[in-house]
Order: sequence, then C-alpha cells, then structure tokens
Amino acid sequence: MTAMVSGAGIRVAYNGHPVLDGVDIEVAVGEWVGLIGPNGAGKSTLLRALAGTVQSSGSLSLAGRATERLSRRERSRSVALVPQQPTIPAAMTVIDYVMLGRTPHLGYFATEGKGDLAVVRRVLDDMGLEKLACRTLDALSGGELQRAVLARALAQEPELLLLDEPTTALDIGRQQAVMEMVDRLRQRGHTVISAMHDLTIAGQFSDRLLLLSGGRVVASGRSREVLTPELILRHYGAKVVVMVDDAGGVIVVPDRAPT
Amino acid sequence: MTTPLRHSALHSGPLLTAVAALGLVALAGVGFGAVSLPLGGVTRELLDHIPGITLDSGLGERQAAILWELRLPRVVLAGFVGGTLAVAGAAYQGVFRNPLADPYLLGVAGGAGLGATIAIAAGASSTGVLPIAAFAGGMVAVVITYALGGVGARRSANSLILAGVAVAAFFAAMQTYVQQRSSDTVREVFTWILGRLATVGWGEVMAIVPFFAVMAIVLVVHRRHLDVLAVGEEEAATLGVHVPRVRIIIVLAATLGTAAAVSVSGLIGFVGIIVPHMLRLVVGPSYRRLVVLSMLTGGAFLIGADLLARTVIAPAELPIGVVTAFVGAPFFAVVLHMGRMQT
Repeated sequence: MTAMVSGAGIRVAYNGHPVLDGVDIEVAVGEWVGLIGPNGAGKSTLLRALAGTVQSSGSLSLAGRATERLSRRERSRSVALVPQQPTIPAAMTVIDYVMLGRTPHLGYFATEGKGDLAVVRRVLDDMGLEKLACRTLDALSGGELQRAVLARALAQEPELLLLDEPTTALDIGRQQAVMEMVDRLRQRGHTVISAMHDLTIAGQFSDRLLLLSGGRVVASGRSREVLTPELILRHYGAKVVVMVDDAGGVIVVPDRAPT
Repeated sequence: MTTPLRHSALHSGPLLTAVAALGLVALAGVGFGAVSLPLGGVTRELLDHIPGITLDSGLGERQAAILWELRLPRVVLAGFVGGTLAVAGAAYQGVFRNPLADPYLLGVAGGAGLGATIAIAAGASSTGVLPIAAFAGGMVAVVITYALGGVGARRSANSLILAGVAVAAFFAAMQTYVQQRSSDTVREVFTWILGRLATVGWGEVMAIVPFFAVMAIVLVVHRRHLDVLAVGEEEAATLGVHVPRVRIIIVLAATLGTAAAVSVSGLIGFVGIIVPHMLRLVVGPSYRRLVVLSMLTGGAFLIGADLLARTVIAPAELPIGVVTAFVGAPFFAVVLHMGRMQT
C-alpha cells in the first residue's frame, strides 16, 4: 500500500487555542476516507492543514514527499481543497471559474494555453457543465454551483481531493449525484478525504471513517466499527439507533422515545 | 447552433473600440478649445511627424505652436493620468475585492495633499518642488498604511483598508493644520486639491511616463493573478498563489502610478471607480480584459472630461475634479440602482 497522506502528530492552534491536538493520519492512494465528528472537532482544520492553508506542526508527507519540501505551487498541483463555503465571484463565467483551477500548472508570467483549455473542457464534460460553460456563476442552481466548484478543483488535476461538507445545502437527489460523482473520481485513482455531517452517507460512500473529537482522532475504521451508538453518544452527545441494511450499509437515525 | 467554448481573453473587438475611442477623443481634445484648430489640419500635422510620411498640414505657425506646446501635452497628460487612475482603481478593487476601492484608498491622496500643502505654504509652488513633495507625501502615507495594516504575511486585506482610513484621516488633519497656519495659500491649495491638467510643455508628461510604464507592465503581467484573487485569499492560496506577495506587488505598482498622477495633476476623483465599473458592465469581470481596457478607456474618459472642463465656460476653466465628480456621482447612483456593482 502506497500512502497518499502520511501525517503524525499534526497540531494546529488558532490564537493559542489548540484545534488539532496531535492527529495521526494515513490514507492510501485511491482510498476514500470520511472525516466525521461533532461541530468544532477539527474536521475543517485538518483539511486545511493537509491543503497547507493553516500553519501546522508535526510531520506530514504527501505521496511520499515531506510537505516542507514542496513549494506552494507543487503542493497545489497534487492537492485540491473544496471548501464548505467557497467564495463565489458572482459575475464570473463557469468556464473562467474552472480555468482558475489551472493556476498551479502555470508559470508566473504564463497564460493558459490549448492544453489547459482541453483539460477544462474535459472536466466540464465530466461534471455535466458543458452547456452551462458561458453562464455566470450567479445564474446557477445550488447543485450546479457545487459541480462547478468541484470542476475547478478537478482542473487542478490533483491526486488528493479534499472535500469539506460537499453535500451541505443540497437536496437528497443532488447529494447522491455529487457523491456518486466523487466515487467515480476515486475509481479513476483520485484519493479523497471528505468531512461529512451526515453519518449514513459518510458510511455508505467512504472506505473508512475517521472520528475526530476535541482535535484528536478517537476512532478509525470501517463504518460498522466507528458508527456505534456508544461512540456517537460519547462524542456527539446523541442517542441514535444504528441499523444495517441488506447490502451491509450502516444507517444512523436519532433514537426518539415513544410519546 | 453551438458557440465555440472560449474563456476570457482580450478579444480584438473591445480592444479596437477602446483604441478608436481614445483616438477620436484625443483628436477632439487637441482640436477644440479657446482657439479651435481644423481637425484635418491637426491630423495631417500629426501624421507629418511620423517618420517616412511628409504632409503639408496647412496649419499656421501660431496654430502649430498651440498644437505642440499647449494642446498636445495637455491631452497626452490627461490620457496618462486617466489611464493610470482607472487601471489603479481596477487593480485595487481586485486586490481588495471591494467595489468601492479607489486609487486613493491607502492614503495616497491624504499624503500627497499634505506634501503639496507644505510645498505651497513654503512658497515653493511655482518651482518643480510641488510634484516631488506631493509624490513623496503620497508614498510616505502608503508606507505607513502598510506598516500599520498588513506587511505581516497573515494580515487580511481589510486590516489594510482600515489602516488606510486612519492614515488618510491623520494626514488630512495635518494638512488642515498647515493650511490654518498659512491661510493666504488656501485658494492655491484648494485649486490643487480639485485637480488640474494645466501644463507647461512636456515636463509633466515626461515625469509620469516612467511610472506609468512600470505600473502598466506589472499590472498586465498580473492580470491573471487578479482573476485568481476573486476567489478569496484562502482559496487563491490552495491554487498555489502566494497571496500576500502578489497583493503587495500589485498594490505597490498601482500606488506608484497613482502617486505620480497625483503629483502632476492633483486629486481627480471618480475616474478610478467609474471607468472600471463601466467596463465590467460591458465586458464582464475578468481582469484579462479590464486591465488593458481600463488604461485606454480611462485615458479617453479624462481627455473628454478635460475637454468639457476647458470649453464649458471658456475662456475660463472648470477644475477637472469638478467635471469628473459631476459625471461620476450620477453614474454611480445609476449603477447602484441597477445593482450591478461587481468586483
């Protein structure tokens, strides 16, 4: 197994307050790891630390290379982050927005060439956005916008895709569509780490779950090992019922006392 | 019918339109004034000076002198000042992702105003000291703004804007104080503040050209970076952009141009806001187009405004800052009303 991500003792503090308190993480090439945990557990911060947009201590290598030896551009050629609430330049067209993803591949003085346009066309095609390419971003629906943001990340041609709550604010149909899309990317060799609130969806799509709480990894493993009523009660403070469907998928629902 | 898939690049259509507009307005600018010059004669006279072309312009000696010594330097200066203010405004709006950012955002105006006021109060206004004092004042103000608000790599764009507000207020207060101490120069200071393009030959043009050139090259090189900054600091960083470094390079280039423009023409408001927003309505938000088009259109705009300033109540002149604000304020209201303000 080759490791795409190999981190040990990752620590991040905001204004002296520790947010990540020594996280160890190993993710294999082509694996999909779901980050779960209550609000404030450090999921988004861990993604940022992997993307290099927050200062972190500890050791971290991406595809076998220590991050301190990677330039900013090199790092953004192999890692793309889709934030939970991306900044949307409303009047920009979809194609211009996706083209921004080519930035890490361009020299300081360079402009995009035919090769870049070819990558962007392919990505737009993959995401079903080719007909919307010349629309402005403010004219897209929530689901289309999410695909545009994902398309920009894919235009970076990253090995590692970091997704922060990729399906928040989407209806169940759009949620499923986005997750299936990510699954196809993973099958093509992308490694995916996604922070997720919906435990059932997290369990269904990822190969492995990492439960974060208080800035530490408190459980890691297959969904049936991590999504247990005891762990969820202890870390989310929630009483849940965990069921297993015919295909072996884990379903987590709130446990309500009969009224 | 399918349209070919293209991303924003500088298409020839808007570029040619802007060049043609600049040419026509410039021709009108040299032709009209207290003394009108025949446009055909002016065109032939200008073409005659291109190596390899020989034409008889038919202009008299006095007319030729008005053209070469008075009108043309003034029109060219207006072109450079307008182009500088417009592109600097566009760049500031991009860097700070703030549609209200103008070239004076970081205290250039306050600093230059203080420098000019001190020079005028010291009786040095008729010498070449005034533009140098204004330029130095503007640069000092911006350096202080940067020191207060954002050299540290992790400081945000907003802290820089707030530092600019504080520095501008401080310099304005000092300027008022200096003015109070030498009240007989108030009128002269006021005239300078309202902006003027009265030239004495080509000196001012020569003074601004090197700064314009540096600014233009830096901004053209960074037009793609300005587009990336539209997704915010953190996302731009995940795209491999060193945001604080790119920001300081763009801001310094725009500020250098602005300080040079202010030093030769005083404070001319609104150009840096109106022109880029007008262009965004026509060609969209991409800086690949906006940077070059702002320079051309800003030049045309200020040449036109100057033409109005010196013909509306001829032979007297309106301060050009009054004309740009007179056009700018209603335009601003209309754009706000349309809700199309974008960065």
